[in-house]
Amino acid sequence: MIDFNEKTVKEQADQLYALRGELEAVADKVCEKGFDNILFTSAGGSLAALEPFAYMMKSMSKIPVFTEIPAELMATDNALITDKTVAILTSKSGDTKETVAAAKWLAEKNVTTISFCGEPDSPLKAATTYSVCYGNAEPHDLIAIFVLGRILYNKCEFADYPKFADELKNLGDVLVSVAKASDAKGMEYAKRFDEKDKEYQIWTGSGMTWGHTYSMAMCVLEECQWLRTKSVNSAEFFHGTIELVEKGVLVCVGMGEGPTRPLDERVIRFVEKHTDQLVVFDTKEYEFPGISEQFRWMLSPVILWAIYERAYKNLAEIRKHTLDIRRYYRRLEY
Amino acid sequence: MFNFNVPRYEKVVNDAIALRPQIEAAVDQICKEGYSNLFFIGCGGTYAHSLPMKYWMDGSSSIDTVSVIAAEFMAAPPKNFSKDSVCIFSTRSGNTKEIVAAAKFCKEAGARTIVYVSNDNTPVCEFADYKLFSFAEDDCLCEAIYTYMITMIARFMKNAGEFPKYDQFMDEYAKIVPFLLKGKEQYEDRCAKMAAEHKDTDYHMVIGSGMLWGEAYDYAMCILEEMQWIKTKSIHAAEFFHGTIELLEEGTSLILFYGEDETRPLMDRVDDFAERIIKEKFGTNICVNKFDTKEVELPFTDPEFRKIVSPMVMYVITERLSCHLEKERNHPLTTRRYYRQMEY
Repeated sequence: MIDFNEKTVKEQADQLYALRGELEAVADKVCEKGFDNILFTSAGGSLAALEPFAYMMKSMSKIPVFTEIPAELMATDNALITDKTVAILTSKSGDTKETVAAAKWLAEKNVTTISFCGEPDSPLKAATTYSVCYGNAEPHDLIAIFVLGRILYNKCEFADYPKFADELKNLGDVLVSVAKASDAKGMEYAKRFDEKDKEYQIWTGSGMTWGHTYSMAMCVLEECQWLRTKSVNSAEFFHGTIELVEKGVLVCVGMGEGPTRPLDERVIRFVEKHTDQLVVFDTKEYEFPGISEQFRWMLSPVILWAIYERAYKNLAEIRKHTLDIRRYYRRLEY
Repeated sequence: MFNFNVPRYEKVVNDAIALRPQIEAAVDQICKEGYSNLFFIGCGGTYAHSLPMKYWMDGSSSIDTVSVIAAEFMAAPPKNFSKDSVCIFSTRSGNTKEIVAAAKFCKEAGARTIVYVSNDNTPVCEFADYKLFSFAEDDCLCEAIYTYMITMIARFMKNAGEFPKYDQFMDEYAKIVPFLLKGKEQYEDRCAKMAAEHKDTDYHMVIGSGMLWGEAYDYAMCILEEMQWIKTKSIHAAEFFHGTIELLEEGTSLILFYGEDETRPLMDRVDDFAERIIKEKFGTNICVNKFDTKEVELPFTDPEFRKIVSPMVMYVITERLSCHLEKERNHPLTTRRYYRQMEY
């Protein structure tokens, strides 16, 4: 397997689990103080990675939740965001301009802010009420689960949370198992670029897994592979993008196990009749050792990402286009 | 103007404007009974047009508003949806499957439903507590939908004490039709030229922000993709820098949707990057076309009102481009390979 280190994956997952206590303590403090609603805000892929949590909260809880692009948040001044709001922000570098600016803006409104950063002592940490540094822990997209799951538990909306959190001790094994089992799928996808480059591809997803599919298209295929993509929600696909499907057009469907799965299945039923280029990435095809059936849907986004990772690592190899080159991002001031 | 029937247009938009007393009666009744939150439930264009309404409310109102894709709503209704919610729909045909299913579900759950429909006596009507009907067709549907939604939201906000200038706004809005026509004329020649230049362009990025993000999403998906079979990426001006930016190459087409809200600087940032920075540093020429609602004169005395109607104005002027693309590309806007051609 290209670019895969089993030992590292396990170690990083264990590092993530090790943060559980610290994260749950933040949740308890926030609940003790009381709050009206939860805001998710961050730039680019970080916001997309928070989307599943917003979706999960909406379907499990009566607490109002919002997701906002930082620049729009500050420009419009959402009237529902007050000193009784809890805001969640993430940035791996901890210095993403827009996210730090949003944190400072929220602080002025006395919003309680929680940040997750990969680097210690970052500007984002300095600007937020609570900050947890996750270092090299992975999958860092999942870190908010220990805060939000605990909040739901405290609000009597997720009674099984402690059992779920306990099972996350097995996450490293799950990720290794899924990566190994899905490498062939990743290769199958990558091989479609073997002879001549596909100039364009459509990606669909929905509900819990939509955010990660949006990111796969924008932050990996566009940013790191310079390939044109259209990412569209599986339900919205039928209201326009559908007309572009024909023989030779590559369509990828990312599926999880949440309640919107039938929307993805509908895309597949249609697409398989109209193009010879369909790739389905489906978490359901894989075992999650040590995870109860009832919790699988909540892990769909990170598991789907583990599957995508096999796809793009194989793709980068086949296209001889390494994932780290940029034409513009962070190379120019703008 | 090419392929455009002025009297028909005037009638459609004015008919929608004439719904005002019905809309006011519906909203007043709902406010009297009380409600917990507003749900805009749509798909495709009707979802896209609800996004600026939500954006407007978020910045100006304490009314809790949700904008959601109908099929996702049905797959897992949000926990804060209840019988106290108000559910807002629009549909031209009155038989859009997802919309009919969602309206039925909401009504049966005991929530109140408000439906705008362009064709009376259609399946959705049965599930409308408040039905607002006025005839419209694709090329002027958006004006009817926005007129309905803007009037409704403005009334909700007025009743919540958040829009004291309501009467002034609505009275001025009633005079908007000739201004919209003038806006179309202003863009007529530019759109003809752009359509000719781009008849063979196979990929566009459509970029918007704030009140105009929904329109960028809609124009890319429901016009360029659905009606012209041209590949697109619609991307928010702030998100553009987090990935899509890397696709810019010599000749890449960018269509910028400029509105009149607080997010204009985000659009300027994209424009500056595409037209100046990249040219200076790499000598790369990007093909940038701008649509700007600011250029269109409107009947409002308070400049604040312009922001509210900016998404509709964008639709009004870009319709000219669609019309000329149809001609230049010899591809009728009504041709579909699949949509409503088959069951899926």
